[in-house]
This record gives sequence, C-alpha cells and structure tokens, in this order.
Amino acid sequence: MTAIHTDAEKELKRGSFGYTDMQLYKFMFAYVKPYLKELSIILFLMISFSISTALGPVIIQTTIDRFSSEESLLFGNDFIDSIFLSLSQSLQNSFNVSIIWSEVIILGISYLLLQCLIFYLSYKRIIMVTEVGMKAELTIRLELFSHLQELDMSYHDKNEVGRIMSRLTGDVNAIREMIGGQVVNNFANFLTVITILYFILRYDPVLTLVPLSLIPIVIFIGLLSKKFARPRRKETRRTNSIMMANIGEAIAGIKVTKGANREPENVKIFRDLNNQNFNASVRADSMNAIFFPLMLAMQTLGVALIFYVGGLRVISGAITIGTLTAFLFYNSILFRPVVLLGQFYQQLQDALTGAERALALFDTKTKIPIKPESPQLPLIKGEVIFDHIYFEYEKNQPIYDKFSLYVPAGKTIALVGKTGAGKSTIINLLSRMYDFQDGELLIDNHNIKDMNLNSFRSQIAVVPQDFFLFSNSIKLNLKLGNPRATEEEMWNALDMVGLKSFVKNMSDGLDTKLQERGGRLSVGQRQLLVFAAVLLADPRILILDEATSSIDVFSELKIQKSIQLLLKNRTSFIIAHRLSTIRNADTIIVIDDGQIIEQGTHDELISQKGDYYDLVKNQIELSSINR
Amino acid sequence: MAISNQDNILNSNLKELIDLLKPYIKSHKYWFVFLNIIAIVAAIAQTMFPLIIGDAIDNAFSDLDLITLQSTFFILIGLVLLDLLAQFGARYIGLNFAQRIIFDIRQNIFIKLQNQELDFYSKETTGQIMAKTMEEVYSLRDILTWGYRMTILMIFLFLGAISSMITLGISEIPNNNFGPFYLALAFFVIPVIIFITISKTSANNRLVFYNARFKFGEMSEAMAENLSGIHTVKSFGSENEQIEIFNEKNHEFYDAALKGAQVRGLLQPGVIFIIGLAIVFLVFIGGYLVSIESITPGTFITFMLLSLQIALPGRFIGWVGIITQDANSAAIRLNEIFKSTISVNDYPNAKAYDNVDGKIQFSNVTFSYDNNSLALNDINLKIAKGENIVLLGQTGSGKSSLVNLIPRFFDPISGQVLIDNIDIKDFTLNSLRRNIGVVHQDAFLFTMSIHDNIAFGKPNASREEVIISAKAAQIHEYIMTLDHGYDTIVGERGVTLSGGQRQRVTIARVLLKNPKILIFDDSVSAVDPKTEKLIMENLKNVSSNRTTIIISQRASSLKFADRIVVLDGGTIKQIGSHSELITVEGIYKEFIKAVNEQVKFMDWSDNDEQKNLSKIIPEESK
Repeated sequence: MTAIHTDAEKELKRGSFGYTDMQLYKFMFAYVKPYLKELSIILFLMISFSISTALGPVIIQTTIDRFSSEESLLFGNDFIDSIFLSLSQSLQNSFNVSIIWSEVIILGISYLLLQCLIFYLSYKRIIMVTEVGMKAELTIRLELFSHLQELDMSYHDKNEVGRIMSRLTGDVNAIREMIGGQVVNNFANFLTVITILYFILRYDPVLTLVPLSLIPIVIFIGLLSKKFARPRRKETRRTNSIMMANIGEAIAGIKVTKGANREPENVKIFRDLNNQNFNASVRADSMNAIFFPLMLAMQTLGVALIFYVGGLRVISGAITIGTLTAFLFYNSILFRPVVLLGQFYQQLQDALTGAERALALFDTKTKIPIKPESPQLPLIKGEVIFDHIYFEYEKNQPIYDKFSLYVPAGKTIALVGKTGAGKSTIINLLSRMYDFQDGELLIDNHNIKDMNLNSFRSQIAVVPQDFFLFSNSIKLNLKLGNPRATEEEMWNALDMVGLKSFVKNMSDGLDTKLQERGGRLSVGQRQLLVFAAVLLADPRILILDEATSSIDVFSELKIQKSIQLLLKNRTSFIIAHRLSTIRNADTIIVIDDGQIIEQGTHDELISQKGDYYDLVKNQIELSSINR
Repeated sequence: MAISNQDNILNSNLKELIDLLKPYIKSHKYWFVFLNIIAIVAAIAQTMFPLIIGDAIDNAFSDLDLITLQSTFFILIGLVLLDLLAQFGARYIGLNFAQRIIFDIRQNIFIKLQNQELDFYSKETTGQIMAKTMEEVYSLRDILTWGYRMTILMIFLFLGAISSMITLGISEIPNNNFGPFYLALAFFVIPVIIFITISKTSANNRLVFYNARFKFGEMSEAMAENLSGIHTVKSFGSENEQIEIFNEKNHEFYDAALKGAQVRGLLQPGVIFIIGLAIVFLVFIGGYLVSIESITPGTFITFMLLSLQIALPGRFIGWVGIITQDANSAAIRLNEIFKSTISVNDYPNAKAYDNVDGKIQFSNVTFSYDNNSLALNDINLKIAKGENIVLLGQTGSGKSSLVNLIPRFFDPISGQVLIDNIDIKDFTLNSLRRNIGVVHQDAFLFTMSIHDNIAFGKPNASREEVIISAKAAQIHEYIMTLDHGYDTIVGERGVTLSGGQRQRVTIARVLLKNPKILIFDDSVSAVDPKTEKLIMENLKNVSSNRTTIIISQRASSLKFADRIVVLDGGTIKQIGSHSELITVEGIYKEFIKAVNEQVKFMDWSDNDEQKNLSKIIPEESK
C-alpha cells in the first residue's frame, strides 16, 4: 500500500518551483531591510572584532621576540613603540622592576585589554545577529501564518497540517540563519581576511604568498559544493515535511488506529518515510563530509608550507622566529573565515531552499482575497441573491451551473437533499470558503466579490457539524464569536443555550481549559458551546450546517427556544437531516444534483407530494417505534 | 503555560541525555567504535602538528638546519594527508552514526506514540508532539556529529600540550629547577576554570534552552490547532484574532529563544576570554620566573607556543558546552514521551481470544477521566450474545464513556468488564480489539485511497472484500461515480466527501473487520433520512449474529433494539424493551414524548396517512 500522503507536492519534488536565485535573494533581502541600522552596527562590531583578533598575534610575536632577545622594532611602528618604551621606563622607575618584568606587565595588560574588547565585541555581535535574524524570522512566520489565514479552503483541503507546519518551522528557520547573521558575518569575515592579509604583507610579503595561493582553492571547493548540495538539501526538506504530515495525521486518527489494531502497519509506513528522510539526509550530509575536510586540509597544508618557506627564510635571516610564529598563528585565523566563506555557500543553499518553499506558499494566492482596500460592506439586512452561479471543485466537473436563488432579508431558508446533493457547497460559496467561477453573489445588492471580505465575514457565521474547539479556555472559545464579549454576556449566552449550570460546575468556570479539539466535552455540549459563541457574534447571516444533528432529543427540545432565538432577526440557512429542525423555515429548498428541484413552505411541499414529502414520510417512519 | 518539571531540568545534569542515547549508541556500537578510532586518529594528527612544529622551532635556537627543516616538512605533509583522510572518515562515519540514531529515535517515538492510549492524547497536544519528534530529535545531531568529534580532539590537544609541558618541567627538576614544573602546573588552570564556568552555568542554561524548546512547541501547537480548525476560524471570520493569538506565541518563542542566544553570546566568547586570561596569567608567571632567572627565555617561549595551541580549539569548548546543554534540554523533552507510562497495557497473563461469542458484562464499573468527577458510577449491565442494545441518554450522560471501556480505550477505576465471562483485562489488547468494531462520532478518514481507508484494519484485504463492505455501508454506488473509484485519494480529513459519505466509509471500514461486537457511537447523525433508512436496514442484516451497541439520538435505532439502556449522570436509570419501558414513567417515556412532539411538529393538516403514523406512538397525557 502506498504511503499516507498524497501527491499534492509532487511538482515540488527535487526540482524547481521555478524561481530564479535573484528572486529568492530579493525575497530574503526584503526582510533584512528594516534592520539596516542594526546590520551596520553589526558590521562595525565585526570589523572591530577582526582588527582586535588580528592584533592578538602582534602582541604575542613581540613578546616572543623580546624573550628570544632578537633586536627588532617592537611593533614596527615608531609611535606605538615610543609609547611602549616610555611606559616601560616609567614602570621601571616608579616600581623598581627589571626591564623584562616591566615589559611583560605592559604586554600582558594590553593583551588582557584586547581580550576584554574581543569578548565584548563578540558578545554584542552574537546577540545582535541573533536578534536581527529572529526578528526577521518572527516577521516571515507571522506573514506566512496570516497568509494561511487568508488562503481559501481549496488550499487547506489539499494540504495536510503537518506539511504546512514544516514550512513555517524548518524552512523559515533556514532563512533566519542566513539573513540573521550569515551575510553580515561573511562580509565581515571577508574583511577579516583582508585585514590579516594587510598585516602579514607588512611582515613578510614572500610568506604571504602561501595563504594567498591557497585561499582561492578553498573558495573554489566551496563553489563546487553548491552544485551538489542544493538538490540534496531540497530532498531532505521535502522528505522531512512528508514525515511531519504523517505524524500529524497519525495523531489525529489515533482512535481509529487503536480500534483497527493498525499500529504495526502505521509504524511500517512511518519507517518508509523515516528511511527516505534518512537517505536524503545522509546524501546531503555526505557532501559536507567530502568538501569540508578538503577545505580544512588547505589550512593545514598552509601551516606546513609556511613552516617550510618560513623556516628557509629564518635560516637565511630574512625573518625572525617571532614572525614565523605569528604567521603560523595568523594562518589559522586567516583560514577560519575562508573556510566559513566556503561553508557559507552551503548555508546559502539551505536558505535558498527554505526561501523557495516559503515564497511558493506566499505565491499560492487565495482565490478569495480579503481586499482591505475595497469598500466596507455596511451593516446589512441580509438579503441574499445567487445569480447564475457556476461552480466546480475539480476542473470541468460543475457542481452548480447557473444556480440562482433569491432570499429576502430576515428569512429562514432550509436546504434539504440527500447526502452529497450539494447543500454544503451552497453555504461554502455563501460564506466565501470557496470561490465560484462564474455568476454573481449579491448581499443587500452589493456584489460580494467587490467588497472587503472581513467586513462581510464579521456579519456572517457558520456553524459546521464538525465544529473545532481550541484547546483553550471556554472563555477564549466563546470569544471566537465576539472578541469583545464581556463575562456577563458570556454567561447570558451560556444560559440561553442551557450550558450555564454545566459551566458553573466546572472547576474553573469560564476559565476551564478545554482539551485539544474540545475533548471530553460531549459532542452535544460542544455544539451548544458553539451556539453560545454564535449568540455572542450576533451575525446578520447565520448558517447552521448540520449543527443540531449531534444534539440529543432532550437537549434539542430544551434548546428549541435558543435556536429560535438564534434564527430571529437574521437571514438563516439551515441544513439539517432532522427535519423537525426545519419545519418552521420560511422556505424549504430541496436540492438534488446541483438543481433546486422543489421550493416552498413545509405545507406547500407536503401537498406537492414530491421529494420533500418522501423525505418527511421516511423520517416519520423511522421515528415511529412500532414494530 | 508554566513548565511543570523545572526541578527535574535543573537537576538533570547530563543524565537525561546519556539515558536517552545510551541504548542507541549500544545498538550502533560498531559505528561508534569506528567513529572513535578514526576521530582519535584525526585528533592525534592534529595534535602532532603543532608539537612537531614547536619542536622544530625550539631547535631553531640551537641549530635549525635545512635537513631538519625538510624532513619536518615531509612529516607535516604526511600528517596533512593523514588528517584529510581521517577527516573524511570521521565525518562520514559521524553522520551515518548520527542519522542512524536519529532514525531509530524517531522510529521509537512513533512506535511509542502508536502504542500510547487515548488518555495520553488528551494531555499532549499535536503541536508539542510534532515539535518533539522533529526539532528535538534534530538537535541531537549536532552533538552526535561534530560535538563529540570536537571533544575528542580537544582532549587530545590538551593532553599533547600538557604532556610536553610536564616533560619539560620534569626534565629540569634534577637540576633543582622547579620553575618549568610550576609553570606546567599553572597551565592546568585553564581547563579547570572553563569546566567550572560551564558546569556552574549549566543548570540555569538548561532551563533557558528547555524553555525555548517548550515555547517552540507551544507555537507549533497554536499553528497545528489553527490549521486543523481553519474551517471554524473562517466561519467566524476570526482570522485576525487567530493571528493575534499566534503572534503572541510567536513572540513568546522569540523572547525565549533570545534568552538562549544571550547564553550563547556569553558562554561562547566567554570561554575564549577565559583562555586569553589564562595566557596572560601564564605570561605573568613566566615573566616573573624569567626575571628571577628560574627559567630561560627559551623555555618560556615554548610554554607560550604550547598554550597557544590550546587557545584555538579552546574556542570550540564554549560551543560544545552549549550544544550539550541544549541537547540535554531536548533529551528531557524527548524523555517526556519515552518515559510516559502507557495506561492501558496487556496484563501478564493476557491471552489472545478470537471469535468470541459476544456476551458482554459490566459489573460494578466506575470510571472517571480525571479522578475528579465520575463519568460512570457503579454500572451493572449484562448484554447477551447477539443482542442489540441502544444506549439512550442526554448529552454527557456517559454513553460514549461506557462504550469506550469495551475496547479498553480507557480502563475503569473499579469494577470489571467481561466478554464471554472473561475479564477483558485477560485479553491481549490486540485480540480484544480484533473482536470489536467501533464506528466513531467523528468520521475520520486518512489521506489515502478510499480502498485503503476501508481496508485500514486489514491492509491486505482484496478489492472484493472492500466492495462487499462498502455495499453493506451503502457507499459503493457513490464510490463508483468517482473518477478513480476506490482508488480516489481522500483529503487529510476526507473533506472532499460530505459528512454522511465519510461516515459511511468509516462504517464500511468497521464492517470489513467482521467483528463479533459492533459499536456505533452516534454514527448516523450526519446522514439524511433516506440514507439513514438504508443504513438502518443494512444494520439489521449486519447485526445479526453480532452483539450490537448503538448510541443514537435518532428514534430510528430503537426499532431494532432488543433492549434499551437509559443512562443519566453516569448511572443506568432504565433497562428494558420498548414495550416495557413505555409503560412506566421515566426518562424513556419522556424521550418518546419528545420524539412524538417532533413527529407532531412535522404534522400537516388533513393528511390521513400522517395522522395514522403519528398515532402509532402512544400518546401520553401529562
């Protein structure tokens, strides 16, 4: 049997989302832009850091040369030397210490100060780099999340939760690492290389040739790795997100799994996905295992060459032992940023992969944009006109063709029809979960496609059958309806749906935390809770999609009043299989195969003796207990 | 939300990490041994490097000649090659070792998750679990690959340097010159200070890292919930509030992660700083010793060079310390899953019983979800084999709780549930559940083909078997209208099907198992009367020879109930057949009255047929 995931992402396999690198850089750069000031400070810190780091060996070299009593200009700079000598002189005079001792103290203290400076600079830099990166990450993630809120159901229906989540975690993470510090870090590393090259050129131009000839090789290896790394990284990401989707679904369906004794089979499927991810990771990391040691080998090779060439020059007296030591020291400082520059390329690949996947999500446009710039829908009365609506979920398979329906404001409309007749589709269109392809939907004579979506959504509420409660307090779940509801209003609403005493008896009242998906409340209680939220929302158009079917008969009788209350003063659409719920509707519409086949009041339709009549008869028969 | 196990985190040291990794390292011991060998070879090559150079430069004071220079150079080149090969090997083996362990850990988490029972899932959220299986596991990779390799390298570099120093120091002792020896001892200050710094800050850092991980989990939680409930969010147009909620979690994670960054920012350069300090310290002591002529300047320079050798790799100690602490926090979170107890287990003497008759007995069963309020209180009920039972009662009266006990989704706190007079605790879970088919309220479909969804409990079922079940569940015809028929993939939550269609697929899924005990947990509420009728008629067929328990809000189910059990507030109020119960005052009579009222509600004037129908149900006067 095939894996648990669909082919939804097959176009994204290992190849291209079709973005050029330039587009991806642009995308990433947009998130760094607000932090140019911080970045320039980071750059300054980095440069100071490079210089201070480069100074360390100077002090050491001086110390070594002093002790090996070579005659040399201390720092090679008259000004600094004069300061050094006069300081040393005054130390000797005032504390009566030997020359060596006084020089050691001065060198030691300057080294100490330098270390303090380096510490401060790197501390500051690490914090700032992380902060900028994380702030950018914060923004990207929030924007992606907001974008997901905007995407219509045709996207969400096709993409598993786990897979989407991987975009918001792993991929965003990779971008963060890049834009946070890597670019600046590497620019600074580049400067470090230049600084050190300047220093060592002044020491000994000949010896400088050694690292100078090796550095391009390192960079070349880095570039070479790009070619191999990127497709492999992408494959790792892809397998990762599939695995995540599988875990998500395994958790969501755990109850079914338990009942079906299916655990071993699920484990087997997961093993496959896990294995794919393992192979992809090993393949990707193997590139690292090949290229990184090569780059490092250039550094050690540099040490050997400097030793040899430098040794020759020491023998010939061209340079001092101290200089040679300093060169050996500089070599490792020099190669670290170079190797990092090479590695930077790999991280860049990671970031580009992440950026690709994030950008692809951004570029998945909602078919139902919020249109914040569009005119606000004024407070509506609730007149609804479907005018020649054409709609299909899949290409060329119309669910509705030229569907028209007029609903006057304030009326209650019941939609009836057999399972799968298309009732839910109508309300999905009305609530703008899905976009219809042709025709017009008019609310109070406003073409709804031209209006600000938020202003419409705030006036409409849908209660689906599988209503989702959040693992949050009852209070916050009620606030889904109206974020500004007061506690008093909440208690009132709970009272009206008959949940007041139940909630009162709970340990924390309104603050009682519900479990994921509202667990442990019975389905009926969950639905009553949702009704309370609807009462708080007080929408102009209300849609009850099978909302009462899980409520038991006792409770239904009890809440009959609150349902009437719910329906009062607003345009309501009801889908219910329990026909008693729709008995009082102003108009009952029977739908079959995308067509309105009957329309009228209960009494009218009964007298027609058509489909509705059959349905009612069926139900009464079902309800009669006579055997 | 607060972190509950703060003390545990503060006290754990590296115990949690070691506990977690030990068995995996054991099972991949060959990789581990290889990794060690080759990492040691690499470390030795790298340690030799400065030692050889230092030695050669030392000689320079006396007689650095061309021949020494050349021979040293060739040795160095040899070492470069050795190091290169060792690095290739160490990295390759390291990544294989790490990925294999990661593979195993993920696999074991998944197995644990699959074996966990429902009460676990009422405590852990999907978001946190997903964060743990993906992110936390991933963070172990760093420590397993270069963290470990680095540690070996540093130990060797240090040992190399310190042994040269001590050798140097000891060689001077016979001359009654203790100076170099003291200097060597002073060198020990470096690792001691670093070790103290890292371990002193460790507990607090672990908490910081744990907190960042925890907040990441909370953010994932907000994400997972939102995406699962996106339809609801859109229904209420509460996208903006959701964005706000997410933003808050996003920010909390940011704050927590930034604290982690502060730790990194301090510890990483901090260690480098300490090394710098130590070098200064050495310079002072050395300078002093030189000034009192206890050591020669040459000896002093050798010491300087040796200490510098340690300075460079030393900068990684900070890193290793951080990732170790971070990995330990990750291990704590992983162990939260691994060490979670599975509440429902096979008992030691459990046996597999197949083909039970289907007689069920509840004896003095009391059950609670949270040990606070009782969901079921002292239930006694005998269900004969092949009997059809309808459970009736208000929302929250304990109907679902009662049926959840039969397949041991939960265990009662007291009392017994027996099937065929055998305590269900004496069944292996597997065989128990094989005998029971449950159709749940929420019709959950997996992202796979309809065929695979129906064959979920029996993956090797043939198409014929699947079709037979689908026909029994009244969904075959619909499936045949789909382009790909049984091979149609249904979305993550089966959204391309309507609620009723989904429900029928799940019914087919259960029928395929052909269980002796059938449980319908309010599973017809989402279908229209016509389909309901069809399902009910089919149910009559499929329920023959099976013990069937139906929870339903529909009166239709009462029709073929042999007995009706009325629950209220977790206790059984009434048991009996329709004709028995209808004659006594009680909840059942009220229920019938309510149904009646609904039927009456549907009434229409001057229609004889309808009047006849409504008279079928005996009217009661108040």
